[in-house]
Amino acid sequence: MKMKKIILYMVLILIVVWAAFSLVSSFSPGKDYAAEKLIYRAMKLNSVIARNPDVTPPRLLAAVEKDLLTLIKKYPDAAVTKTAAITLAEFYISNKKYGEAQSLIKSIMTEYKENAAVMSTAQFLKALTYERMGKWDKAFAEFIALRDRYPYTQLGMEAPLYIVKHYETKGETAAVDKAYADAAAFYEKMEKEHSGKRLGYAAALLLIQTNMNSKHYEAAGRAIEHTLNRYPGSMTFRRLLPYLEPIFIEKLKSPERVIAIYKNVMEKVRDPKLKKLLQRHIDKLSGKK
Amino acid sequence: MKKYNIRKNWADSFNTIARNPVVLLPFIVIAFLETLSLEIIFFSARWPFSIIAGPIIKKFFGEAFLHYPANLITLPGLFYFAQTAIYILIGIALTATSVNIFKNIKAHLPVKRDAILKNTVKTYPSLAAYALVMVIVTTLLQKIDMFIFAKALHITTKILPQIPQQVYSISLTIFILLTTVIIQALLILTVPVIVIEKTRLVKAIFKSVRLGFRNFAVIFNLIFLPLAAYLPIILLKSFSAELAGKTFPEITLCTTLLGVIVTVFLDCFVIICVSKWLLDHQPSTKAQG
Repeated sequence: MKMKKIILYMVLILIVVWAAFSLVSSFSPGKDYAAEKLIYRAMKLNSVIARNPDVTPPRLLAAVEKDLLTLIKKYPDAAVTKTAAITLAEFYISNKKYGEAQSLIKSIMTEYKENAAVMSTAQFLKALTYERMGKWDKAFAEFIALRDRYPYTQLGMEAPLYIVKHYETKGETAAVDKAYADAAAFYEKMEKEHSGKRLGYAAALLLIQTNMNSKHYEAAGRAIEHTLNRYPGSMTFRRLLPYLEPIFIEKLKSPERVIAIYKNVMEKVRDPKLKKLLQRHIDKLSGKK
Repeated sequence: MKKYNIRKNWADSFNTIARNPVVLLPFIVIAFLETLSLEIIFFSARWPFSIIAGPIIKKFFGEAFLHYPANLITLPGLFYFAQTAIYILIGIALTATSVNIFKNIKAHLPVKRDAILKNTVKTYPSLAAYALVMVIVTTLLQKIDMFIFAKALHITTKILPQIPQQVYSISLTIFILLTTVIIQALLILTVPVIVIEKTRLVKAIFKSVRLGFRNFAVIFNLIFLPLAAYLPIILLKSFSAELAGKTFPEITLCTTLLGVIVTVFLDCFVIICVSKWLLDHQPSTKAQG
């Protein structure tokens, strides 16, 4: 009897502690945990829909929309609310609910004016909505706005390449060439304006990518040489050295430039393994010469 | 020499626990403390508990583990630390209390709370030191198991590359359980020896190892089957991350709690079985029997 009482007390204590902890945590300023639970549920359902969107029952779509809308309305101050708003906008776009997407994007852009990452994503989704609606002229203007207003964000930086991709998909060769030229000019300008900084480095890498994709190998080679000199470091070397031989030897037929670059890099490298590897390449290329 | 009847030991031990559930009480207290710690860990990622626990979790696991559902992935790991601390500080003393109660019941002595607590307090330093030794041995054993298994895996993947990953995880779990039971067979008698024979720690460990070696088959069989009943829980725990992805993240809390409840009965049954074996092998008991 006494033992039963002890067990009962222990169970009661556990229940009371659980209830008290739940109650106390429900007073959280942003109600973050409850919001995180809702967004997790919605995202999980959304991933199920994304796997097979054509045969998704309407109640699943409605459940995702309901969870995200509840989150936005019920927990406006939670840290995940902006993610939920963006996710809902993407959800509307992928389900062709363009009207709802546009009004939601508008409210996001009013609510999160100060947050560059959210604003650039919203701007991107605005452009994407127009593109999906078949209004390319408006979409193009919004992509340009994204590039010019938020060049410091990833989406802003990649906007010129997104434009290129659009024309490539449509098979508009002249427009592709012009878009590549615009993109290269933009990245060159960004690199000059932010030379030596992270943004400059990102622009330099995108410039190389643009020139390589557009098959302007001489410009790509120059950009690689410049980036290796301006941003020396193991990450840069690891990223760019593999491009040297395909560009300078296969495309530009100029092995002596590769040797010069290898020698230049060797002076800056500390890693003995990389030095050895570079020397081996120099020896191999010199032998060929 | 007469063969020891393991089935009779199991039946007698079970009957003793069923007729005298007070033997279980110390293990219920352990379960209570563990569940309490589980509750604290479960709420540690939420406000206001995150004010204290947040920086610690962030430092050791990362920012993501402060948010739902990643916080539930760390739950079994954090609970293991809490369980270890409870085991060293109080769990082992409560186990000894249970053995003491069992000894009194078998000797037809009254179970007096104060006298039993006094006995436990007297042996506490030895018990705590033994618990520490057990934690170190188990941790080392797991590391050795992992090392051996990794080597074996390397060889078997070459021969049988098509075996699914889950098979390896299950095999590793069984391998760890098996080696743990082998080590337990050698060391498990330490607590009953300290309590029943009032021996000092080092002597008790030596006696346990000696008895374990001499009667390895009996002790191994005596504890293996009850501990093997824990295998489904260990498997559930080791697949909890996959299970959480397929069902709901809180399943990790449920499996951990289930483990705590099952352990109450299994640990109690195993220690009573070996204590009974020790009593059966004591000259005075034999003479009486």
